[in-house]
Amino acid sequence: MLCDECGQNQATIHIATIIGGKKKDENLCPQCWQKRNAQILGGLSVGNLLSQLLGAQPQQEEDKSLRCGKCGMTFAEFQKSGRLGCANCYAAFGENMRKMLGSIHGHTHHVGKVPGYLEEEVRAKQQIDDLRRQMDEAVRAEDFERAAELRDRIRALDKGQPVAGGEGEEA
Amino acid sequence: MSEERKNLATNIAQSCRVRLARNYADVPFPTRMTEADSAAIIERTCRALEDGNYVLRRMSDLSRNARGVMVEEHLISPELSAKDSAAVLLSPDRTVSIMIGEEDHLRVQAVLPGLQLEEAMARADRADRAIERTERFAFDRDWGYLTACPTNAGTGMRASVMLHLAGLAMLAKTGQVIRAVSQLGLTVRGLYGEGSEASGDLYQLSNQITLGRTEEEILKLLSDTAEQVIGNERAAREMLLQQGRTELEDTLMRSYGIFTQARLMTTKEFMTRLSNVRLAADLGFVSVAPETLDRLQRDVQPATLERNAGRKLSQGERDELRAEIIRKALT
Repeated sequence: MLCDECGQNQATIHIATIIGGKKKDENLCPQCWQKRNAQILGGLSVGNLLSQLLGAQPQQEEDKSLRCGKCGMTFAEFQKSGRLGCANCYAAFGENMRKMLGSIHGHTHHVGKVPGYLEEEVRAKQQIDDLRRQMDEAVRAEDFERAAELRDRIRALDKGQPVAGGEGEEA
Repeated sequence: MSEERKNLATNIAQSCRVRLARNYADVPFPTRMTEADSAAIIERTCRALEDGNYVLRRMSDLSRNARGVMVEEHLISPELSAKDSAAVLLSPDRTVSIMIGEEDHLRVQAVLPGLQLEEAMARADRADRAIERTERFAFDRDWGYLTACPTNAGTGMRASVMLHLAGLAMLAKTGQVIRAVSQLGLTVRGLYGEGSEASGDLYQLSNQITLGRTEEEILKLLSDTAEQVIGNERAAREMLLQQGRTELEDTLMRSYGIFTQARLMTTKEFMTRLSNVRLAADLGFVSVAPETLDRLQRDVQPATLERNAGRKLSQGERDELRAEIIRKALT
């Protein structure tokens, strides 16, 4: 029998619920049952979520001994508590952190609000990313003249020089 | 009835909240802070918000009861109330509270009645920007605002709406709603946030994802989803009325009867009965203003009861006093 929830896995758990005298029968696979349980308990707790995410990715031995040079927290300690020691831990745990953020949020790039003092810089970076994308497209389309022009604009932006608006671009 | 709660939707959406997690760039996160660090972040936050007429309350200056009252009023979290080194800044109208030294250095939160997430965000954002004028927050160009727990990184924003889903609960449909919204990157919790169970049929709908979407996108998704769930709740109420108006009225009004007559009332029973009475009032079976029920809900919580009584009460005394307050409020 297939699972009532996902319709893909074999159902191995039978649940009978009686509400207001009416009986309801359901057949679930272990995965969906686990999900259901977590939802019944009011959503996944942060600790559960993290240990699941971390447990799902086998860590290299050397990763466990990764240590933040600033606050001294090790990756193993973080795995246990789910709390980082300082802002530098993010960089210190590098690739592990990136993977984890990807698993939690489905994204690894912040696109929201930035602190006021960084607004200009972040906007410039977004502009550069955008120009790079256009340059790659130009290369693919073998429009090398345009690609070179875009490359020059990226270089100028990289050096922090104001760039005159080109065609279809906002300055 | 006040402007904000005039229509049924705002009776279903009881309140909304936006919370921003922020950390000072040059101070270790709270798990690694020294006492001096804790004191410093309080001082710095107060200085940055000097012009805002905020009132500072240090946990070390507050009794256990006073802290409990603030938790019950949703001004601080249970986690903050347990930390002697922590503090909170409250705006004059108490809609904005800035918890200092919780899981992150700062939790800037705004709570408003009904479903007005944009306005809540605007208020939290104003406080955030004000601090940012003189301070540097931990921020990474790729990962956004850095938080003690990576589940908050990015926007650092957790927004939520408290929904009274009595009709869906009576039809045993809340499980379906929870499953549906969890597929949208949203989550559902009980009344007092993480780890608490849904009592009084109050469900907190909030965003799970904080990285890779803008604040506006997250708020819109949450708002739209809340509107949809409110629509489902209305349909559930409609269905209950059609299935048997008298039976429904009887079930709900029994709770009203008990509220007006009971001599002892536990918190748990109170929350269950309150849900029925709220629904009875929303459907026009009985005339009680939603504000009266809101006030009642706040006044009969354990810490608030003891504060108003002016002394420590045994459980039996609390149950008796609770019943008395309910009778007075409704008759």
